[in-house]
Amino acid sequence: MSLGRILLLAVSVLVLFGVGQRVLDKMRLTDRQALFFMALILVGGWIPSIPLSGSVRVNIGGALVPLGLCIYLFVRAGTARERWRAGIASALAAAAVLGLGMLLPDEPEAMPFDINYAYGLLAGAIAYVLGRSRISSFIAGVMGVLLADIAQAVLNAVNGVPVNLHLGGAGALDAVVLSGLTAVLLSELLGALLERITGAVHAHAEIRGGQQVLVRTDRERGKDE
Amino acid sequence: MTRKILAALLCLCAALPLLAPAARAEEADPAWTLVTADGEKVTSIAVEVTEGDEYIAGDNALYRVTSVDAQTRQAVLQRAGEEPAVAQALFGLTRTAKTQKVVGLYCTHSDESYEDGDGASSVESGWAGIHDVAATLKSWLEDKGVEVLFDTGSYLPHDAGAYRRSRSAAVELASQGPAALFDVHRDGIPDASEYETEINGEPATMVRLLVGRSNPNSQENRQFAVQLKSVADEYYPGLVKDIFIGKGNYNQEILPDSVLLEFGTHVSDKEQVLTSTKYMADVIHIAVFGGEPGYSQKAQAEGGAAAEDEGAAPAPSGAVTPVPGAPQSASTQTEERSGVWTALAWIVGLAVLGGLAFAVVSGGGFSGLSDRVRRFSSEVSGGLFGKKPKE
Repeated sequence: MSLGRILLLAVSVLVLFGVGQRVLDKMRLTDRQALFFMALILVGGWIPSIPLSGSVRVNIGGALVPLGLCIYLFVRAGTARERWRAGIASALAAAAVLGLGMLLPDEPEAMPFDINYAYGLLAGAIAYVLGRSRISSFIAGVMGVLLADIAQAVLNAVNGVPVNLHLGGAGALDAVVLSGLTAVLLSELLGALLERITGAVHAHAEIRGGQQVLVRTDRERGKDE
Repeated sequence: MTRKILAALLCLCAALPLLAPAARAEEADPAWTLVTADGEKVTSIAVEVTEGDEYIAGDNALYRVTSVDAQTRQAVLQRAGEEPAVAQALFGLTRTAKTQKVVGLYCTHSDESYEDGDGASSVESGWAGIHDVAATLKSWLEDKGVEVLFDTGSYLPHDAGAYRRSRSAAVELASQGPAALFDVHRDGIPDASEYETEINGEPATMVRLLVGRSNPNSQENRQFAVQLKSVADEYYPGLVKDIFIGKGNYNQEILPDSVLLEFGTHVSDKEQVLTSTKYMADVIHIAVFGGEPGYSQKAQAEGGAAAEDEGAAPAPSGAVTPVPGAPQSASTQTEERSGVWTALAWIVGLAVLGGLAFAVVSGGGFSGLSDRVRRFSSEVSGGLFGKKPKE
């Protein structure tokens, strides 16, 4: 392999690693935990997929690690409401991924952008509308693609079309991972932009006189913290 | 109110799968006609054409799409010079290091078939005509000593998600270290005559090469496609119809030497399509591995045995014979393929710009930007570089 291609590969991996680490870092994970999970996704993606039955296979880095991370985040979600929102956002995102596949043009050149990022943008938007939560966004982005792939395999089986289900088969480059990361980035950007445009209202809980009260602090529009 | 809106959204999304098209019909996507500014037809193509797309015609004339009319599905081309062919000497030099001859094949549109040969243009119930084409290409390549990683998976339905599903095949094949990756397709234009050709007196179909320009590797992909066409033009003129460089990535960012091959169209005679795989295999063998034109292991083995029997020199002719008198005058190009550096510049540039934009938006402005960059460096490197955030 030429020097240029080695550099290209190294830089691509580093960029994905950096973006992934920053995204995971925003979800109640420490820096090192985020690094660890990104490393698992990258390395797991290169390990041969696990055959489950017949033509159903699952990739470690592309599906199992993101799924495990979703379960971890789901369990650690602050409230039952956040868990509900994450669940609903995932179901909506899955339907949207299936719908996008059916409604958008067949050929990549006919789409305004790379469809691998469209799933994440959609899942991020859905999760943001539902609860403005990064965790919900990540779960919706990952689970949306995984559930849509499973649903498509079921539809194929029902329609007599050969089933070839390879969950997260492209490893770190799979739509499952890209969608999860894109969803969080969108959620983060939407939140930051809306905050900047509207002038955010910050609120925090305080104990005053033995009672928990919500203290609201209006911030000037566009002014730095 | 919000709950009602959410419920309506949920129902709408849940109902989307029911809107699935029952079956794919070529008529659903009428072909585009590419014309010059004078209105003269250059070619037809069954992909979406947008402004900025490029087209390298059979005679290496380079065109750029300057305007499109989606209603009439007509695109106007402007001549942008001539695409220089790649001299064999160049890829001979760049390919000599490849001791293992391995390529990967897969078919994203696993239903594509030929009406004349398969009975329908789309076969969804199992092995489709396009798999026969890829399998035949594989056997011809194997006859040249090339190991072929052939993914026979189905990525149906033939919808916008097909390339997402076939991405797993592309990555899986690429991880096994092939020198090149080919996504085998057929075109969908209604006129078979546009693809008809004759190679060595045999009726065959042409092969169109498709490159996606929306990926960091697109320059590398394009140079690879030009390399294939240069070899074909030299040994089998008329085999490679043209090169279309359109929007999309077709999973070609996975490997720099990736290209999409369109073998004929859905109304082509399948036998003629299969004939063209024989010549395309030779082109791939020469372009990717610097192989000897017309080389065939089987023919050589038979020739060698005959020579031992008769004491004569082994017959060098393989399964295919390069066209006698074919032009050997591909213009020389001395510089190394530069696409990889373009790709590198794109990735680094986009990462830096994206990171800065994100830091500015999420951090609330430019003030303290350098602090955030240093903190970022520390966080992504686990504290090795940059400034550690204060507890």
